[in-house]
Amino acid sequence: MEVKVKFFSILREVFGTEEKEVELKSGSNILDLLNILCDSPHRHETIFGDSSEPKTYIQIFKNGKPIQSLNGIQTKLGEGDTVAIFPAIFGG
Amino acid sequence: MLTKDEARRYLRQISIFGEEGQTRLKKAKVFIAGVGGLGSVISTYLTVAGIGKLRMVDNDVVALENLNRQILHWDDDIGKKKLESAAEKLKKMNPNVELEVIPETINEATVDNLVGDFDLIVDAMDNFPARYVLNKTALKRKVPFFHGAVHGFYGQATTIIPGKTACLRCIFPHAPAVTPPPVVGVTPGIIGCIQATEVIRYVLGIGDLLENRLLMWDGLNAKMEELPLEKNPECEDCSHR
Repeated sequence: MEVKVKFFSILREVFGTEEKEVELKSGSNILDLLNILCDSPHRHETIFGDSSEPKTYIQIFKNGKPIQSLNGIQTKLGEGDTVAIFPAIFGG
Repeated sequence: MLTKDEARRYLRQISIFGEEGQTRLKKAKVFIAGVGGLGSVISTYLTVAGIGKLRMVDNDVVALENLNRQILHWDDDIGKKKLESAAEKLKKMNPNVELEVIPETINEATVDNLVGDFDLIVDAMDNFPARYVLNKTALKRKVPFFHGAVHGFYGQATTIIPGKTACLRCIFPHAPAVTPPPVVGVTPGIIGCIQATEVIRYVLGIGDLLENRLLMWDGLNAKMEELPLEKNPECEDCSHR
């Protein structure tokens, strides 16, 4: 199945694009998607740091809903889903 | 009622929303949290628009490294309290605006007294803990909270209406790390103007606000995009209200 990923803010520079289509196995979830996207040490460090879970301030939406109100990083993905990923920015 | 000075000063905008609209702006009481990059722009545009009363809170001192973006503070102001530096200029821009400045730090212990009975809270902070404190106060007081934030060439803004929209904690349940981010001055220029526009339109009751809309500015590629937002039914800050 194919999902669309949209990056915002500084993640556009980290991932080198505003959006991309990603091919996933049926039954994949958000964590599976992130592991595929983070295909370099820099990308992995940006999203995960030292943990096996994404940094808490990296916000992820599936089809407009924050994954916290779904099933977190275990949220299942389906054909045609759109996943938006952006960090909380805080400068003022 | 507008004075002769006001009728002439605001002539070019009165032609859009009438003296009645201008009077609404004159009666508004807006709390601005911070007078740095965002706060410089927000306070400037709300002052020249004729907001009646502005209360500004910031406990910082002007430093050389602020001057690439905090446009209310100039070379001669280095070492001064930011509020003193800001108030000096704002008063000269528009003596009709009642300016209140409070050199304090915003936290759980101080926020209620600082916000007081002001009707709108504008986020010009540089950290999430203070933003969460303001978010909770806005929810408790049921007043709108105009969020903005910047990083490099990127920025974001949304307008939080307690009881109606996602609150800040719904959108960002966890605070990011606190290392000072890079900021190009034009970015708070754009985001601060967007926040000031939201305040003005809210007071006037016109247009569609950024309610449940997270506006994302990509200044590197000159793109403005939006993400739809919704309340988190399990939000620790707003779900029980």
